[in-house]
Amino acid sequence: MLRSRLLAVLGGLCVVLVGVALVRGRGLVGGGHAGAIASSALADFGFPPAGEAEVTLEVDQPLAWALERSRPGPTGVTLARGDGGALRWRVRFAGGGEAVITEAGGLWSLRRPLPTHPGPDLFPAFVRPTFEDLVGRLVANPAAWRWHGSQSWREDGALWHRARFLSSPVSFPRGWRPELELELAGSTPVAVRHHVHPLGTDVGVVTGRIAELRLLRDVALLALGLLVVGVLLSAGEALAFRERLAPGRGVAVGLGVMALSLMSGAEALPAAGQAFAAALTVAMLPTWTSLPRGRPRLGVPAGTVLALALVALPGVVNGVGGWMPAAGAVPERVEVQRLLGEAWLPAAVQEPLLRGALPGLVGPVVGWWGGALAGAGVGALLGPLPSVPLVAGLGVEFARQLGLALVARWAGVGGALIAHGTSQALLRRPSYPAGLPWDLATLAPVVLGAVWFAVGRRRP
Amino acid sequence: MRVPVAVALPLVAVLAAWLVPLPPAAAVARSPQEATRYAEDTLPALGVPWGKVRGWMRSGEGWEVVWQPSHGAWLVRVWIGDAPGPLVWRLDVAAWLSGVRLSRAAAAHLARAAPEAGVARERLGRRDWEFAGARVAGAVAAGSALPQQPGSPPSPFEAVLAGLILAGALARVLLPTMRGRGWMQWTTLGCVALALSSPLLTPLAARSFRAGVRPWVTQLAVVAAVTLVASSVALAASHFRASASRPPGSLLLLAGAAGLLAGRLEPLEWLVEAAAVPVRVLIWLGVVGVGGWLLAVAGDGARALLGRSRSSPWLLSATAVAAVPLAGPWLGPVLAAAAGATGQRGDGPWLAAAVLFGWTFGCTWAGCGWVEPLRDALLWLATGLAFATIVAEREHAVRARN
Repeated sequence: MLRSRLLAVLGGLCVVLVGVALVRGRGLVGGGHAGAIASSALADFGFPPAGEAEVTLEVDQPLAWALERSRPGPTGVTLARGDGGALRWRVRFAGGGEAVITEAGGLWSLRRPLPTHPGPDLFPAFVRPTFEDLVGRLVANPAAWRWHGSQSWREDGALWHRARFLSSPVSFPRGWRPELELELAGSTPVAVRHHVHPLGTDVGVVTGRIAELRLLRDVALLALGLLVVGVLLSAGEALAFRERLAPGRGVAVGLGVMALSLMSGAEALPAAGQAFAAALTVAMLPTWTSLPRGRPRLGVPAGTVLALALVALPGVVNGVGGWMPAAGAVPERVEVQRLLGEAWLPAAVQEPLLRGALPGLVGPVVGWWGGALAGAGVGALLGPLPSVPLVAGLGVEFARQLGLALVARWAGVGGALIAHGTSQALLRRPSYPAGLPWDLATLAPVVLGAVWFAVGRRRP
Repeated sequence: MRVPVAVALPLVAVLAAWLVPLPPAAAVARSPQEATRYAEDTLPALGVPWGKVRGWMRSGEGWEVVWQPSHGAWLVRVWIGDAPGPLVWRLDVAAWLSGVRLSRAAAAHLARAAPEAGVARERLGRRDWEFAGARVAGAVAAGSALPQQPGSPPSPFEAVLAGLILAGALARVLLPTMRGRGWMQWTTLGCVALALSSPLLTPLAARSFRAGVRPWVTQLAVVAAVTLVASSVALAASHFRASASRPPGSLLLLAGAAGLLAGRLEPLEWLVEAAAVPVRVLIWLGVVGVGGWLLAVAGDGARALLGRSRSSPWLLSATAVAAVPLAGPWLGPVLAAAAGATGQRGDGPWLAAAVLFGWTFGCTWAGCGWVEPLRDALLWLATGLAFATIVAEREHAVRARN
């Protein structure tokens, strides 16, 4: 007894350590320093900013993935977050002026308000030395940028000039073209902006895969819709025959799903639909007697192990010549509640349906494993990442779903739900900013689950 | 008394509507394959390879045919009218595909359009232009907007049928009778037919093909969706089983005739599109097997909701008669559900399937003007008539023996 308890404590400790290892050092950096970098850059531009700085994240996900695909491995990730400018922080100052800083801390763009007296107008034929001088002050390697051309126009009482510089850095894949654009009003520099013109086929592969996965997702949604109809009919049947239901648990899960949906920014009607489906399914779970018995205390350890295995799979795909992004999409909004919603909402909606209702409904015909495999197939279409070839991403997602089916067999629907939420939180953590609130949101369930696993009462 | 009233009254109404005020719809003169050949021969080169024909659909008084190369970067849609006239085509190009950024004047010259009305749209590596009646994608003329048909307003009959199916499924569980295996097997057969033929059904999902999505992925999604629905229906058929019953031989012919006239009155466009698929007989089998069972479930729902009052057959008949001018192409399924609600519970699937049998023939007969589906439909009709005759003869023999 003591030995098994000690083993459980050790297991719980391992779970926490694995969770910390998966979270430590992950997350988007740069958000904290973006304000200072922007302020310094604006001051260099002759406009020391005043007032509060509002920092928001901007993401061009297809561009980031296209860079990752063109430069496989960490090089692509670094490029996307640095010179590629796919992940950037926009800093707006209350007193005017804004700057965009890349996730790696480089200046991506900057615009200051037009001064009342922008200085004497420059003759268009002689602006080139002024711009070249400006490039020398603004970028780290000015020799890499070559003059491409300029245009001039008169607006707001000043003569404006816009110049373009091109570069062919070796860090970019072949066919990609970085561009630097500068603007002068009178003789005052007012704006600088980087552009990256990607190779169409690189972006095409990624955007094509995204569109294809969206199409396949529609099939999975159709499956979930049919499943909900099945649950609805079963509920009518169960009510008529006064079968044992779990209304309290259903209402609790429904309210949780509603809260998570609203926290994630979903509209009220779809959120209510999801909540209703989840509540109904959870309430119906006791009627499907063929489902394995629930052991939810195993959920967190299983989810942590699953996350550990899944972190390695993109590397395997890349290692055998395919391509898969290392991490999921970075959301436009990176609040803590969004992370919680992204992690736990799919778990609370999908697990009761795919690991509960589906094996419960089709079990009498194809058995529990038949239903679980069908559920894994449907789940694999719901959220895979784009990949080359397409089946690689679907395969990785199918592996995850199979893992969850195994957990469901071992720990029931509740265990699978907790495992799904835990693994999803650990896997989604790198797409959110580095910082304690996000770490806490990810690790708190892991620690609580580990304690429950270590000291909780075990059923015979 | 109940069955003749509920089946005969709509039959008379359909017959009257067909014979007197509403002429039957004009058949489509040529198959989409012929329309495709005509378009490929007639249209000039578009500047890009068309790829293979991926699908077709009826659009107004003509066929809209979709071509897409296997890389999926662009999509060619051509509208070919049934009557002789100019073809309308449109090239959709994936947003990421590189091209050039033409000036307004150059794009207008290429599109042979007035430059004033041009609206530019910047893409990743090109500029697209939209003029009145002409489009340009990069440096390629991209045709014009295809004729859009105003969508028909959603029919309340579809929603009513869906609700009745749910009610009928519950009724089958709550009011059990002796369950038969026959209809479960028939429905499963229909589902298997649909699932097996699903790779050949992808041309019917012409709307699903998109520029930037490779056609095999779209086809895979269609196959998966059809298989999913077919499996769900097969599972449902094993759970919500029909009652055991012998087919009512004499009534099958009557129900089939009602369905035939309903289809002849206003054919469902989807069945006309499906008639161009080589495995059309499998599709008809699927429609009759799956649809017959589903609409019998709807009939059970109607029966359960109406109760056993004396007025229920008259109400059913009135609904079916009202559907003749109101249900449009859904008249066949509505009649099938009404027929399924009459008589004994076990007779419902047989009667509904008979209506759908006649309806598929009627739709094909009225909608298709080319020979292959008409030939197959005649064989289909002969098979059905032979089946109904054998059943009727057997019924007669059993009665005589008793």
